[in-house]
Amino acid sequence: MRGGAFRYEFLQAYRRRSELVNPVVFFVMVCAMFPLALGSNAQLLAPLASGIVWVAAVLATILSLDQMFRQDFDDGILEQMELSEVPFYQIVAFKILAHWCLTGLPLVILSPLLAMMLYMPSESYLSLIVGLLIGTPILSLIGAIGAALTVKIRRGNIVLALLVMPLYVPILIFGSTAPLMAAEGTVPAAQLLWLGAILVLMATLAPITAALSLRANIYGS
Amino acid sequence: MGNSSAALAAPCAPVRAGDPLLDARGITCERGDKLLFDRYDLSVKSGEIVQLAGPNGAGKTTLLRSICGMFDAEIDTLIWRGIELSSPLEYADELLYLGHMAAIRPHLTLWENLSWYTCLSQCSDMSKLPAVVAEVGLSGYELELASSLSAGQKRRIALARLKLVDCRMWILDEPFASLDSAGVEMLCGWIQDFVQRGGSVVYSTHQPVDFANCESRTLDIDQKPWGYNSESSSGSKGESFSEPAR
Amino acid sequence: MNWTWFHKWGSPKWFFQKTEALVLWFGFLCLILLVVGTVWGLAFAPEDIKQGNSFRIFYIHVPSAILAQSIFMAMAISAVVGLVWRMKLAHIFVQVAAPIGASITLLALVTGAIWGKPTWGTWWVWDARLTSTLIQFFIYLGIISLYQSIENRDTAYKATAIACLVGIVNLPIIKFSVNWWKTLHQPATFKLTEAPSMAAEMWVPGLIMLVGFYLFFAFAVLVRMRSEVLEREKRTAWVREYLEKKNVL
Repeated sequence: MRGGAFRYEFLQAYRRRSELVNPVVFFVMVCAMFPLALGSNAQLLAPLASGIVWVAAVLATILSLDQMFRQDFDDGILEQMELSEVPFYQIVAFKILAHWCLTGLPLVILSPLLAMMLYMPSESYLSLIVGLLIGTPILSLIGAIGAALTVKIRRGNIVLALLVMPLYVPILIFGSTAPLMAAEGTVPAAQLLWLGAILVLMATLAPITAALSLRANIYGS
Repeated sequence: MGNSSAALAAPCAPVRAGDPLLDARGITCERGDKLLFDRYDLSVKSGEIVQLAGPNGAGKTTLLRSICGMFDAEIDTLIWRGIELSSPLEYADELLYLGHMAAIRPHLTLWENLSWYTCLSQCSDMSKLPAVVAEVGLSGYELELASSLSAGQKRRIALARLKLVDCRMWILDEPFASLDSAGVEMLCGWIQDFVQRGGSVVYSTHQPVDFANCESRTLDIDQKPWGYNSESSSGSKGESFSEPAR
Repeated sequence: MNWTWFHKWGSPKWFFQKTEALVLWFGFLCLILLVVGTVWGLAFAPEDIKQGNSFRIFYIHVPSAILAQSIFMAMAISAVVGLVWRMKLAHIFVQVAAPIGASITLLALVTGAIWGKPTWGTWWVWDARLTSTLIQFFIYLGIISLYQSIENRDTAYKATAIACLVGIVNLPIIKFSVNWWKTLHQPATFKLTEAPSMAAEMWVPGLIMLVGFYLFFAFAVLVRMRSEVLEREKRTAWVREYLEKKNVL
C-alpha cells in the first residue's frame, strides 16, 4: 500500500518532466555563458571549470525547487497526505527523491560534457562527478526545507533563493575544491567524505524539517 | 501518526448508532489576532448529521479543520470513541475530510487519481473502483487527465472518495458547492446511507438541507464580533496560564 | 522545580507590565556604558604598537561581531521555546531580534572593512572570519525576508523559527568549510584580535563596550517586543486601559 502511494509521486514528477528538465537546460546554458564572458582561453578556463559547473548546478537547483511542493499544496494534495496513514515525512522524503532523480541526476550525467567544454583537466573528472553525485542530493534536501517554508508565498522563488543560498556554501566549497585537488594529483578524500557526512546529516534531518514546515503552512491555510 | 490509533479497534469495524463518537470540549481557535472560538464544545454521535451554518468568516472551515487536526487549535479534552486523545491526528485515519480544494492531481488520469487515493488508507477497496466511477457518472473518462475535466467533474472525483474509503466520520466543507441538482441529490443519498450504517457527518453549508429519516442537527456558528471580550490576552496557550497566581 | 515564572513570561500582559521599568534601566545603563567605553577607547586607551590609532575601531568591531553571534544563538533558543512550548513571546522575540541581529552583523562587516583598509591595504579581504560573518548576514536577511513575505502571522512565526533552527545547524558547517577553503587557497592571514596579549588599559574599555552592546540589544529588543505586544493585543481590555491611561485613546 505504502509503496503504491510513493509510486504516484514518481509518476506525477515524470508527467511534469518538462518543468523539471528546464533547469537542466538552464544549467547547460549558464555554463556556456562563462567562456563567452571570460574568453575561450584554455589556460584561463581550466582552473575555473569546477567552480563554474558547481555554481551553475546550485543555480539550476534553486530554480527547480519552487515546484517541489507548490502545486500539491495548492491543490490540497498535501493536506490529504498529512491526514493519511502514511507518515508524512516519508511522503516528503519521496518527493525529494523524485525531485533529485529528475533534476539532480541529469546535472550529474551532463557534467562531464560541460567539464570538457570548459577544458577541465582529465584527472579532475572523477572527483567532479562523484562530488556532484553526493552533493546534488544535499542541494535537493536543503532546498526542500526552503521550498516547504515558502510554499504559501506567491512568487516565493526569490525568498526561497535568499533563504537557501547561504546554506549551500559548504557544499559549494567542498564540491568545487575537490576537482582542484585532484588536478594537483592529490585524492580529494577529505572533501568527498565531508560531503558524505553532510548528506547523511541532511538525509535524516531535512525530510522531517520539511514535513514540519509544510504542516505549519497547512495549519495556517 | 497512523499507528497511534492501534489502541482503538480496527478503523473499519462497524459501529452502533447512538454511541458517542467525538467529544471535543473547549476548542479555542485563533486566526491572526482574532479569537474565532473561545472554549467551544462540539460532540458528535454515531449516526448523526451535524450541519454548521453561519455567515462567511464565522469560522466554519476553521472548526472543521480543527477537529481533523489541520488547524492549530487548543482543545482542552478530546474524546474519540470513549478514549481521550491528545491530538486529532491520532484518529485522522478514521475520518475523511473533503475541503475546498479537491485534492486532485492534474497530471494524473482520473483512474490514477482514485487509485492513488486508495493507497492512502488501508480501509479502502480497489475493487470498488469501477462501480464508484460509474456511480459518480464518470465512466468513459477513466483515462482522461484530470486537468482536462471540468470543475463539476473534478468535484465528482473528489466525492468519489467518500465511496472508496470506509471510515467513521465524514467532514465535508461546503460539499454542495459547484454541484448540479442531480449531484446534490446523489450526495444527499450517500450521506443518508452512510449515516444509516452508523457513520457520522459533519458538514458546513450556506443552505441547510433537509434529511428525511435521519437525525440531524444544525449548529449556528455566529460568533459575536471580535470584541474586547477576553480580559487578558487573546493568546490561546498564553491565555490558559496568563494570569499569574497572586 | 517551580515553572510559574516560565508561564508568567508567556503572558503578554504580564510581560508588558513587568518590562516597563526594565526598558528604562537598560536604556540608561547602555547609554552610560557606551559613552564611557567610547570615550575611554577612542581618547584615553594607549595606541597599539603595530597598528597605531587605527586599531581603535576594535572597540566597535569586536563587540558587534561577538553580539551578532550571540543574537543568532538567542534566536535559535527562542525558536525552540516557541515551537515546543508554543510561547508566542518567544516567536515575537525571534522576529524582533532578527533585524537587530542583521544590523549588528552589518556593523561588524563595515567596521571590519574599515579596519581592513589601514591594516591590509584593501577594504575587503576574503578572510575566513569576514566571509563567515558575511554568510551569517545573508542568513539573517533570508530569515527576515521569509517572515515578511508570509501573510498569515502564526505561520510566519513557525516558519521563521524553523528557518532559525536550520540556520543554527548549518552555521558550524559553514564556518568550518569557510576556514577550510581559506587554508586551501592561501596561508592564514593576520589575525584581527590578539586579545590575550593586550594590556589591561586596552581591553577594559573593550569589555565595557561589549557589556554596553549587550544592554543595547536587550533595550532594543524590549522596546520592539513591547510595541509588537501592544499591536497584537490591541483588542484586549488591558491594552485599551493602558492607552486610555496614556491619553492616547
